[in-house]
Amino acid sequence: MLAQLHKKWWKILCVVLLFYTFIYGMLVKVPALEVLNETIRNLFFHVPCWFAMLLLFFVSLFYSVKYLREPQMIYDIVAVETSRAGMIFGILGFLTGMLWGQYTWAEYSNSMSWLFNDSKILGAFIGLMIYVGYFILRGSIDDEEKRAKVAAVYSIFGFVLLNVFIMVIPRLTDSLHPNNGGNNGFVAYDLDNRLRMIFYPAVIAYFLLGSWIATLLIRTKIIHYKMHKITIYEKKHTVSVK
Amino acid sequence: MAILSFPVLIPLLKILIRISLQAVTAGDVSVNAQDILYLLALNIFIIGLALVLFPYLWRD
Repeated sequence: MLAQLHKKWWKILCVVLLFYTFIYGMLVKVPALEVLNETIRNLFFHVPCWFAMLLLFFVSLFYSVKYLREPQMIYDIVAVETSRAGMIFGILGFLTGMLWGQYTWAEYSNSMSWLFNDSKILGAFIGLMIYVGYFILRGSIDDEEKRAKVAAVYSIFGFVLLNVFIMVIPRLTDSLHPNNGGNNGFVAYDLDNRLRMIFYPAVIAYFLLGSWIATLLIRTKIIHYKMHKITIYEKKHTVSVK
Repeated sequence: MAILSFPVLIPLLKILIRISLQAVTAGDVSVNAQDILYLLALNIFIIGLALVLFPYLWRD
């Protein structure tokens, strides 16, 4: 992440892939499915949001572990800002899911019971709440190094639990989501790879967009730290022994 | 600080409420073995994570 902060090639790739996703996502011929009909197109927007969120949280985890091994503030900055970008995509995934459910699973929409009746929705909500707790935890500690260490430990905890709640538990319990709770998976929808050709570039596009947002936040944070004269990266002097 | 662990407790509460409802209402006395298994699995995850991560927090 750090080496690519200022490069341009992946940002242009991101814009190209986003245009491709939006335009071909709406134009491609989708297989005729019973309840979904044309709403299967949301597959190109809803699921990539969650994939991008998981990838961004993984980057945050990577830099959190890096901070625990070698306490440089820059690793903490990257960890928190990629978490922030991941949170944005999590909220977007939730909103697109609510929109999709409105047209397909609408019997749940009379009350808030839709949140608790489906284990994947509940799991995603809890996972996002754990990360909200991450930001609250960061806000409650003033000393930078202590904050970075506690936040790094909490982010490891949060990522493992997020994966348990989104990936592991829904596959074991009852759920309406595909590939969970005894339902058919993605392959049942996409019999001739038409949807896959738009789905995978969409995942890459959303991840690159999330990284772009994260790099902008990181650069703002670096300027803020430099203004307040806080060291971001200290080179350790290695002594050579003859 | 401890309130931050509330989201983790939600699935635990959900399963426990279901099991206790089954235990309190008269009816079949059988218990859903799958639920207990998930409880155990969730506990193992949380305790395992805490065991691994706590030394980092305590080192100061």
